[in-house]
Amino acid sequence: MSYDGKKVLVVDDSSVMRQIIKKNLKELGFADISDAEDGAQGLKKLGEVPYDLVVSDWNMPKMTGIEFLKAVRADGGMKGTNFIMVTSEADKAKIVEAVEAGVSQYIVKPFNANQLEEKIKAIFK
Amino acid sequence: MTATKVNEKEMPGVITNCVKDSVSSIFNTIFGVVPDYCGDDETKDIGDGVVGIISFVGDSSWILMLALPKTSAETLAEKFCGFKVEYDSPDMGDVIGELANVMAGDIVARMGVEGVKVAMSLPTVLRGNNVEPFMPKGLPDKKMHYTMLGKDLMVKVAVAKPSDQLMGATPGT
Repeated sequence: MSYDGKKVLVVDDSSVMRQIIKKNLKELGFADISDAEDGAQGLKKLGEVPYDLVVSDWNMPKMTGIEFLKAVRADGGMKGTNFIMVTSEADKAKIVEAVEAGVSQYIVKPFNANQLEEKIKAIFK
Repeated sequence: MTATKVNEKEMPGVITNCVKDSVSSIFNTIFGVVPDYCGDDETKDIGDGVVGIISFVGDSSWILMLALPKTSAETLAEKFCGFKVEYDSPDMGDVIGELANVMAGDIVARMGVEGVKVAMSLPTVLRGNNVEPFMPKGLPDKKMHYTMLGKDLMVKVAVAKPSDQLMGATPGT
């Protein structure tokens, strides 16, 4: 599967996690990858340019991943954006909350590149 | 939720068991090795190192500390990231915070299965010599020591509220 030309936004307050996720995405063939440190910054970037995919952490300061997701889904211009939540929150209630908020895919940390690829394939199949 | 009687001198078993299971599971998933449990030793410290701290509130109020001596932190950070992470860099704080965060998420899920509903904080990361947060006097804590890949690591759990508020408070608060 080719991801040529697809724009991805990685949102995580951890610089290391952003680096790891971007490295995984590059290995999968994504070339156009931007990043943001929290949901508020992510929302700003999404408002400037359309993205094909957002990969976001849940636990972040300022604006959490779930608040970010809800804001994206509530915005007419960006509500169709594919959204993967990457989080340590393995609690069932959290997963249900994310699904109800309209998450496209959900990955529980720790995860590997193969698991990320499976989720992305499911979105772009 | 599970009603758990708390002994003033001991950590509730549901907490220590969930933490031990999480250490085995999470470190095995990330590093491909189950850490060897070396027992509890309240007197043993980690020396110069990095500590990731997460607070839990809800049906129980307590903290989790993941403490790695300097050489352990350097080794595990490189394995976690796939690239070298300088001990004094902000990235080292990110890695240890992330490890504590992933463990905490797993612990929340495990405690939920046991009927104990808790929410976790964002991680706080400290660096220094035998760094530990001040805790209320007279409340139980436990230091659990491990080795993995020839490196030491310590996990400390400590109650953050008196026993009458520790377990059995309003669920989900």
